[in-house]
Amino acid sequence: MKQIVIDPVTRVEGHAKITILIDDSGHVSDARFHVTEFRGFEKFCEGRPFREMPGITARICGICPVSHLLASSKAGDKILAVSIPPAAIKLRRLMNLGQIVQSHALSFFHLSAPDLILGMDSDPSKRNVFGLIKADPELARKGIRLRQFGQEIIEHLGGKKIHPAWSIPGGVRNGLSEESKKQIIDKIPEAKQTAKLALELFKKLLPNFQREIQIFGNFPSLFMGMVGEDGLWEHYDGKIRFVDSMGNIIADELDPANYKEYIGEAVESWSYLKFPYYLPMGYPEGIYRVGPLARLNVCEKMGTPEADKELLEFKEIANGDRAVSSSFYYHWARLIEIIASLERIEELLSDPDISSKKLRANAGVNSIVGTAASEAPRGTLFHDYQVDENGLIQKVNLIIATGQNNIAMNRTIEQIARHFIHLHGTKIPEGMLNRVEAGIRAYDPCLSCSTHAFGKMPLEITLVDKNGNVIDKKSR
Amino acid sequence: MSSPLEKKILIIGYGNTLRGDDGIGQIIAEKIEKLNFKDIDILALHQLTPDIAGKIIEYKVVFFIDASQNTELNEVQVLSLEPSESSPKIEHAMSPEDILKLAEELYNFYPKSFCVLVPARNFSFSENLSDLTKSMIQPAIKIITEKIKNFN
Repeated sequence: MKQIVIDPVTRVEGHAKITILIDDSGHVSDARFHVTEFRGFEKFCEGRPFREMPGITARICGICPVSHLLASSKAGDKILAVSIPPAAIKLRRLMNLGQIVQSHALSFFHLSAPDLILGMDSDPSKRNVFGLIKADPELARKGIRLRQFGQEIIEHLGGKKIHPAWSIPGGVRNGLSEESKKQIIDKIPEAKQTAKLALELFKKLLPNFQREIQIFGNFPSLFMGMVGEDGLWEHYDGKIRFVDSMGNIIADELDPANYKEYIGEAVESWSYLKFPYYLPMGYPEGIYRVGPLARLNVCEKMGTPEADKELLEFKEIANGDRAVSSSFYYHWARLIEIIASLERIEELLSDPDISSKKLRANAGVNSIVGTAASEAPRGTLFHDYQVDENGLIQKVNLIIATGQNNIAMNRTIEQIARHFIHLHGTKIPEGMLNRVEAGIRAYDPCLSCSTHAFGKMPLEITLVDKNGNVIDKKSR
Repeated sequence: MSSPLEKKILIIGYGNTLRGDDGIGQIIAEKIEKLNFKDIDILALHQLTPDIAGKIIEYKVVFFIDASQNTELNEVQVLSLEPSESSPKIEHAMSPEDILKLAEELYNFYPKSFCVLVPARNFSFSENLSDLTKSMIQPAIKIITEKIKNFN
């Protein structure tokens, strides 16, 4: 048995390494996406007042603080057992849409576009955003501005800090000023233009990536996401739906609060990241994917004109009735979600409710359990709290989007490695390394969220035989 | 080389405030904000992301305040910054040098920049600072405010 180790994976938030196990006949027998940082965040929260949880959990991650802020506030709403004012719901939605725009823009323009525009086999020292700037400086600048637009929405609502404790159990602290509203509205046309430009560019580039479409997580699995009424794309508050690869709805109208009835969490000794699965099918057969690809697979319509047109075209990949199975299409789904988010932001800003001064419902602890979910850019995020009668946290469980894609990421690596090892033997071909990294990046994993890690390191790849002897090594 | 918008000074404190001393950059930035200096903007961030390149070009001078990962450092260190020499890989979190490089490549401009490194020891889950890092707050503020005077 030989091992190929890729340590760490670059352009992925957090800290991880990959081991590919080769059997004595030279075939890939397994692939493991190790996450090596210990997760201790849930323990850290015990004993804290539940009202502090949105502010605390938002500080887990610098990329998707809003996701934690909202899921935590919603869990807090459940502990108060209140219905929050309509304006507060709409403002929370607005912030979540800003978050989706900024996070997807970072993923597409700065992390994945170098692979897509410069090509997977281009010089690794140039296959980064600086290479992208040389190839298309205007696109790179537009990408920066699109991310800024999403960030600014968050700042208009929550203040300058990236971790605003603005959304709280019972509602939100502040409304949106008329001046802020105008500033956001004025920038929507440019943001839409950039999103459409990126989408058209992506579609034009697709013929260059037929091999990647085939080997980047192209396998049957379930897909999970929230949907609204009539199967509408939902990002803040809906029911959970699972579909299979044939497009069949296998579970629907599931209450996020009852997630333990349909999500199991398996543990493997070689990773601190858990392996969530669809409970009725068992582990690992219950593999499911979350995030943009899953949300587009589970929904029937986006609910806005431009995004609906794009969804129809997207679904044609799988003849309009089956699920789109290749994880390479996460990129496409992300761009459609940016367009949908921009259209929904525009709608929300013209809604008179959003200017209401009634923003908060006040109550004490009326339930000792609060479980809720929202859609983070990377997928469904669950926050589950138990409190005592004084509202002090007794137990916390967070089910993070990246963790829910864990089985799929491992299978993706295995699929890519099988393809290359079959062609090239047990040496590490540069093309395999590039594609394993790009295959993982398609999921845009956030390991800060999933393990609460931090830090970054240079890339090193080692080929090790069954006795631990290094037989090949590559570093960048 | 001059900043196109002529704003004066930006102070960026960054780090994870749930990771003990790692959050010291944010804490110092917020304390400086309370001093209400004229012509100084403050950003308290979890991490540096590519869009910060679009922000720093509005300023003549930028200070990046961070916890040092050199566990042998015992006093506040101020370093002059230049853009990264090689093309760094973009990750969700970038270094100040990477941000300067990105600004230079995208906008043909980067401001005069300094990195203020604060001694740090504890990066585990905690909202408390180590005694050493706590004792460095006032010295760091003093050093930064002295530097600021040179640019006002």
